[in-house]
Amino acid sequence: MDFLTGMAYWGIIVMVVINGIIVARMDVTVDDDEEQDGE
Amino acid sequence: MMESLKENWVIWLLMAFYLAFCFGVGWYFRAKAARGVNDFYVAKRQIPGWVVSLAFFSTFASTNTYIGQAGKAFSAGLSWAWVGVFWTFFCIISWLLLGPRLRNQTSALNSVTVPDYFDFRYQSSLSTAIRILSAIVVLFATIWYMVGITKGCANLLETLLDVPFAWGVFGILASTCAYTVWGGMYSVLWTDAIQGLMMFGVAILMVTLPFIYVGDASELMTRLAETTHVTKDGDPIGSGLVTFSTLVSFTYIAGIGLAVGMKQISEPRCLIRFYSVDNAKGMKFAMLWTPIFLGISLVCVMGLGALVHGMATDEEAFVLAQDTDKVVGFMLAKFDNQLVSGICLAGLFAAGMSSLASVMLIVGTAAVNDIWNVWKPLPQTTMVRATKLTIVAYCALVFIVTLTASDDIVALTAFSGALFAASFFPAIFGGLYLRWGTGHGAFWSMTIGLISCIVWRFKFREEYQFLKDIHEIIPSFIISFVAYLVISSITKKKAPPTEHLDKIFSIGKPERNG
Repeated sequence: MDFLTGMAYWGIIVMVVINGIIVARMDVTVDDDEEQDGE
Repeated sequence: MMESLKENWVIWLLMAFYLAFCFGVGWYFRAKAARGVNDFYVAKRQIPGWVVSLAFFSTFASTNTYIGQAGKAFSAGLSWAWVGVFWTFFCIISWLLLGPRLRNQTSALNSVTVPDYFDFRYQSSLSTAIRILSAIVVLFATIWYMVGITKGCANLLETLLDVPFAWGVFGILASTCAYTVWGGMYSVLWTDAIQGLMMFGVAILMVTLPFIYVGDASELMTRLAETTHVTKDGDPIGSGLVTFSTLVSFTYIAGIGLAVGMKQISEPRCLIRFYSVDNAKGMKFAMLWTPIFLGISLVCVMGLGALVHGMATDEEAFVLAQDTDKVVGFMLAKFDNQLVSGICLAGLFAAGMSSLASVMLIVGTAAVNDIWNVWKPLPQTTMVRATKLTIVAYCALVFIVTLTASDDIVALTAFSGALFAASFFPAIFGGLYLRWGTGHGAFWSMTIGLISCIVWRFKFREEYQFLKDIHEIIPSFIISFVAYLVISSITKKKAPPTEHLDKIFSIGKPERNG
């Protein structure tokens, strides 16, 4: 397998690792107020 | 059929267990889902992050991935995995850029579908038009996707279990429709999560099969590098399976990678997942783990078809090259182990059914909430009932189209992905990030994206040889995004009132006060 072909496989792993680092440093906020049901 | 039942009883038994589980989940949630629109459509936004994460993965990855794309590597070689690079990239982008914002804005707007998000977010004279147009796009584009998935599953049933194609199509649609209609978003998400776990395991299992069959990893790689097999047209493959972009151009790989990968940032079946995340901890979990589930699975399956060359004779390889959707079925038949085939078949069905269930719900909600209900408002319980009926009717239509459609899975699903990306993404991204984005910008970018996508696919790519490999996603996405920016800036004065924008853009900010 040549370098560019192999790069696809390890490239995916590298992206996943970088994403992990970014998410770990992120401050994520979700508005979790209870929804009012329309019924 | 009866002979197949006797011969393959292990596979049938595993399949029966799997289907019983799906029906059980649907039945368990049927009362909860019937309570109203917020329950049936978005599971009351109270689903744990790990469930949503697995559900996103299993919804996005489908038989298109496990059969269509894995099989495509048979003709494209190991460099087909570059498609997976694009997909993983857009999975990350989707969760990082869209996830938290879409969850917060849709909650603030009490939006339960993507088309009604456009309506509530843009608040313009064209809002209703955008809502109806996007619902029509959903109804039109989804059918090709569902046909592709159903075909993949039915082909597999035919190859492995001798089930007649039409019966296979009926079986997959009817069983998925049943549990979706019973439990709505609750059963879709929970079955998706379990299906996601199965798919993750099956991806790892499947990639080991060619290695076990050949018995030696280096021997398998040598067979690939020095294969005597030929392409679909009869040309020798040579070392093409292991060298970059020899068998298909990188432009083509990038086109499929973009068209399908961008579904994660534009297609309602993926975006609707964000609506249901319960809290910040769940969101963060999903942002971290979804790309892991998807990325590792793609590493396993995207080159799988190329590895199958190591299992095939010259004659078998030539037949498979004519229809790469049959490569995975061939691999399982050649490996000839009932237990392995049973587990893989259940996993492949999980891949297909998880995606089908999600889009079934999307078409039902789009037709009822965003077309029927806009035209003639309905009470909540009637809406749920109408949604269920619409899902059943749409499945009947898909059944008929599947029996007559001829294109391959990859082409069908990639085209529907391109339609969504070109018509939805600018309006979603602009809605979430650009305060000055207007309803006019959203409406016209959607219309222009749609038209340019169809024209490029059926006119330019068909008629001009030099444009054949440039997927419609690339020009149509650029054109629609530019249209959104230009038209929004021209119609800046038609942006929603400041109070409305303040309300939706302040949601989710840590410093907000209650």
